[in-house]
Amino acid sequence: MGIYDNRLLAKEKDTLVLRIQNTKQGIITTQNDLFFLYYQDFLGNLDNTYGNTDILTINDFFNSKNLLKKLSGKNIGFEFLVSKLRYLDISQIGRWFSYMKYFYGLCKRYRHQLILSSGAKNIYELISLRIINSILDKLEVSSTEYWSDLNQWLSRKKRGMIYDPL
Amino acid sequence: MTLSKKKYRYIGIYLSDRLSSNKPGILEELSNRYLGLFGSIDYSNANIRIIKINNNPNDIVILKCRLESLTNILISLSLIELELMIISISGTLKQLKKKILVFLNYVSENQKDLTFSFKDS
Repeated sequence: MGIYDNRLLAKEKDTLVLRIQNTKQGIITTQNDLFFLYYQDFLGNLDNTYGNTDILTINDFFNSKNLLKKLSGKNIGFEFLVSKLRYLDISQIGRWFSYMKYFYGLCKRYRHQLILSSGAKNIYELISLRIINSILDKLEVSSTEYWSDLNQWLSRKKRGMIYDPL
Repeated sequence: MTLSKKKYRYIGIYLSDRLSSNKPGILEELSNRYLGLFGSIDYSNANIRIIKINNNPNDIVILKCRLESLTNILISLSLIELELMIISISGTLKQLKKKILVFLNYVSENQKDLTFSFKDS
């Protein structure tokens, strides 16, 4: 998710998901025949979060239980960026892994989707499926279950598909 | 008691221009991250080495490690603050070299594509 390259859009539109920042002004996009999801950075509370946001990007640890409970049924994707971990020290990474195990349990309980994303801003920050699966393994999350859940979540989120693939 | 042969994996890594002049520095950085994340006993079992081969391009480094430690090494590599990219992993050097060649051909044809930064729509 989140790959954006104009040349790819035309021929790969069945396999790409646009990740668009949700803003107060509303979205103006010419790519309305593509599958897209709205994301927002989570800033510690829901005050500035819009109702149609699909993904909340989490940058800091927070008291997640109450929030996930409150949002129960809204089917939100909570996104964590692996690229952020590069700049953390060892103890913070350890804390991240511990927090993620807890968070994944809450996502399962309140029916939200955990999303592990590369968060890449350049090619060197891209990570492969194998690395994501390795991280999932360390989080004691079955990679098969994770990808299956993510696929189902994306299917439920599909909207704006007004083109005929044929 | 039967002796089983230890299995290894070779990891091909593409380096940015800035990194290519300091290959030992990569091993040091990787070792520090690995040690911090998984501990010294696991690190000593991983047996991480830089493999030197003839005609190896400057922007490629090949690491060798124990198969059992591959997951930990991949995590460590993805969590260090260096501009590098894992190209391929293989059980033999011969196969890895082939994959590296394919990658380098792609890079030389699409140099521009590999340098852009991603942005949100």
